[in-house]
Amino acid sequence: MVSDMKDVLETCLARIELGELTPEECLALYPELSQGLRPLLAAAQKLEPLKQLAVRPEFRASGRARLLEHIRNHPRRRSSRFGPLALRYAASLATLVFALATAGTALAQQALPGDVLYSWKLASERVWRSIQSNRVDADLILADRRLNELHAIQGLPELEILGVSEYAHLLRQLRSDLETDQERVSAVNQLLAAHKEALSDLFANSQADLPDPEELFSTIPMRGEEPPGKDNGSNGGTEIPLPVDPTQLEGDQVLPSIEATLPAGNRN
Amino acid sequence: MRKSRAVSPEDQKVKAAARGDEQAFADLYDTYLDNIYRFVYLRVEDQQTAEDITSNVFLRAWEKLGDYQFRGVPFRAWLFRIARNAVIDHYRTRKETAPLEVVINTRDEQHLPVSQQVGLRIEAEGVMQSMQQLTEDQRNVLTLKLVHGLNTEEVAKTLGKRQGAVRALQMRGLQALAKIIKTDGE
Repeated sequence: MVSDMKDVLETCLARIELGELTPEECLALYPELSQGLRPLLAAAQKLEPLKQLAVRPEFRASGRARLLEHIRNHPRRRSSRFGPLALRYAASLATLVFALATAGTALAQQALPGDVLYSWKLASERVWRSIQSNRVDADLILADRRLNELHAIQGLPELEILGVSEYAHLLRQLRSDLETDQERVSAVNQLLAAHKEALSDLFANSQADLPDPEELFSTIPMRGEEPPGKDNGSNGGTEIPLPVDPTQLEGDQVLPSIEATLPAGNRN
Repeated sequence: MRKSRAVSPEDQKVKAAARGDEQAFADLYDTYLDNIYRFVYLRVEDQQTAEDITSNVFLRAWEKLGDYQFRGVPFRAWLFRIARNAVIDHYRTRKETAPLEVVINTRDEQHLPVSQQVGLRIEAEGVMQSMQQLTEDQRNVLTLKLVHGLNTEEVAKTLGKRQGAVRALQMRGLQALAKIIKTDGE
């Protein structure tokens, strides 16, 4: 019944917004739900005056002038996907690629969930991870790999479930590593916030029965939930960056948002 | 797997702005200024603060537009997402809360008789006070859907939620609002 009400409410609000029906006409279409529906439609109507809110004319003009002045003085630069800040990760990735290649597992690195070589890929990553001095950094690189895989298998429900399972495994691993590396919590949160956004989009369009992204990330502290006294990851007011389309990445390139996770001491 | 869609005039403007076309971005500013201001104002309830945050939203949008990808997130949902994060940052850095003083400018103000302007402001003030009692998620969903006219898919993409969750928040938000309005009216 609750589900019915949600759907009927959605339909009524949409048709009223389009001018196809009045609230009374919509109530007449669903007499069995009209008692519960009536106060909801009335409440929705109460929001109408808010549609009239507008900026002051003075602000409209002055804001536009300031904006144009700003963009003339600050021509927008397309952010570099591989700036100097990625050096450490590039080196780390190079080590990864070299180690994997010499072990004869390079082929497996292109494998996706469901492929024969995917287990081999995971095994080789475990070996690589075990020799890294900073496990959190290693996990972040692997998290990006898992995310790229999920995008690559988008639309294949069975594989999506497998891919999400591997991603969840990595999050548990990361959580465990963070217990001994609290300095990186806020940096990790920044990257995972971007991942969460990307996964929310992906999950929303999935046919598979995937977990809620909120649940998936509930084991990891996220923005605003860091331990008291820790930097909350906000760098003076930046929005969560939109993830770059992984289909445009090549090989093992790292999403640019990973740069934001670098410790200050390692930034050039 | 990926759905292809026709390139709308707005998409063309967004692409032009992404290439650095100032006029195209100024057009987008004109199109969305009221929407973004309204969204921010309904969160911070202070005219000056809302104007400052709105300006910042467009500056950030300009700076980030090169990274905007046409990958299923409509431009306006992307813009609202920046606005939402700007409001979150505002509350994270500014703990004090200003008393609610509704200063409302309306689109048709000059054309309305004074009595109607006053009535509109009183109605708007009343519903804003009622909405303060909703959860942040409920307020976001109701504002984006019923004030800004975003569809459920766009709201889901703006807030990073599933469409089912948006529909549930919409229903619970309206139930709560109906109860508040009823209580206030008694």
